[in-house]
Amino acid sequence: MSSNKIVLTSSDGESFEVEEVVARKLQIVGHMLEDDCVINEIPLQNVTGDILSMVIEYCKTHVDEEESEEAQTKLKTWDEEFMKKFDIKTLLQIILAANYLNVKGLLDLVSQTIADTIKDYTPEQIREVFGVENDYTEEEEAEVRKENAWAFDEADTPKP
Amino acid sequence: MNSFTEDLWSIILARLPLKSITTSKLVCKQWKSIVESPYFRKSLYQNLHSSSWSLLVWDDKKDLGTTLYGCEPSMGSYISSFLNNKFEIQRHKYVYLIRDYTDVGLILISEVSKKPSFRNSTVDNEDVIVSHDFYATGTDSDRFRVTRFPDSGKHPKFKRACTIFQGFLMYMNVVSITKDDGSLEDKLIIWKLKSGEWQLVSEISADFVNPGFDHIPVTINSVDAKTVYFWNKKHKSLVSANLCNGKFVLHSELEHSGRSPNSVECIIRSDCPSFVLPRWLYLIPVRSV
Repeated sequence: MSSNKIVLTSSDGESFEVEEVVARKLQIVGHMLEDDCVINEIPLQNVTGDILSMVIEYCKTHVDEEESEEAQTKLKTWDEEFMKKFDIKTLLQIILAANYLNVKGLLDLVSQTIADTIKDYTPEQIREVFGVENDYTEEEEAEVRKENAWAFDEADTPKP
Repeated sequence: MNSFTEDLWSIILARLPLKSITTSKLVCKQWKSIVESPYFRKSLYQNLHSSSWSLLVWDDKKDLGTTLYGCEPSMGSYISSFLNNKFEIQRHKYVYLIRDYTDVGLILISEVSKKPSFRNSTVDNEDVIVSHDFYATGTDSDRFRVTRFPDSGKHPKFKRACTIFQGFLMYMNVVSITKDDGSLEDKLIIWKLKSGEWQLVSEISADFVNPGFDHIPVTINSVDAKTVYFWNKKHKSLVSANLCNGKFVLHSELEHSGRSPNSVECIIRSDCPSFVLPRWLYLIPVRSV
């Protein structure tokens, strides 16, 4: 792999010069390069500079995915530390970017982190965090609760 | 969060524990429809590869051997060695057959039969459920519980078998019930074990169990308790039964799906039709209305 440099430009005009191998971790870029165009600069419309810089940081770290157990453990530790830096709002921005730029590993990592964060949230808390509106009527909500009572009834944790 | 597509929500939600997934249906109508969609169920089961629905089969060639499907062998051997150690003192009294355990790690089922004592040559057999809480930190006695079956003392049509439904242990069988006029009637009954007590979930007349009935109860649909599955021995395929209208549907196409129901055959052969939902079963259509 040559050490070609590619410039990625964010929606707010911030530019990042990265090596081609790193840029290729963004599958959206990989596909563009495979289409045989000689491109040095790629505009990425749906990502802001601050988020793009996180994605690039992830890609740089994961650029050589070594098979050895030691390397894997090291990467895993790095992933954990990396995720700790962000609040849930930022994580949501990153997952959108990872989805758009098509970075599979990052998508997996962030979705798991979000899931781990919200798993004990109440529906009310989830709505607040994600800005989702409750569109149930009172009756409908009661119905859903009734159908899924096992999950809401704290006293009924599945103990033998 | 308008830019979030349903696919993206699915990716996140499919990584939640089952209970949280169910709670998330309350968030809004869109989330409920995501969670209940076939696409979601598919991604959910793909994520379950490490802690899948698993089953253990008694292997009578070994003392306390198990064959484990869909899970790392280490778990099976862990349980085996654990039970061997645990029950060493009582081994002269009991024979333990491991049946299955859940992916939540809470329930371990085994069959206990008393060996004949030296004074009495009659064999006193009783199926019980031995539950073991792997996460409990208390004393040993807290970690184990022995529960009798709800039809204990009766002679059910099928070998007693349990399955898991939404975190609860379920038991179904066909039992003869004495009617008011004194005559007997066969009923297909489903119970749920809740806080140590059996609760009746449904009870339907089992006229279909005629002498030519060639089915073995297998499991209950993990998302719909009104759909149960039987194994049809003649056609070697699964049959789903809709408890609302009593309809039986043969799912012969599953044999060709590439996810062979060999594990079912294995269970039948082992004379122990007791297991939790195999991973490929989610492909079966849910109850048709």
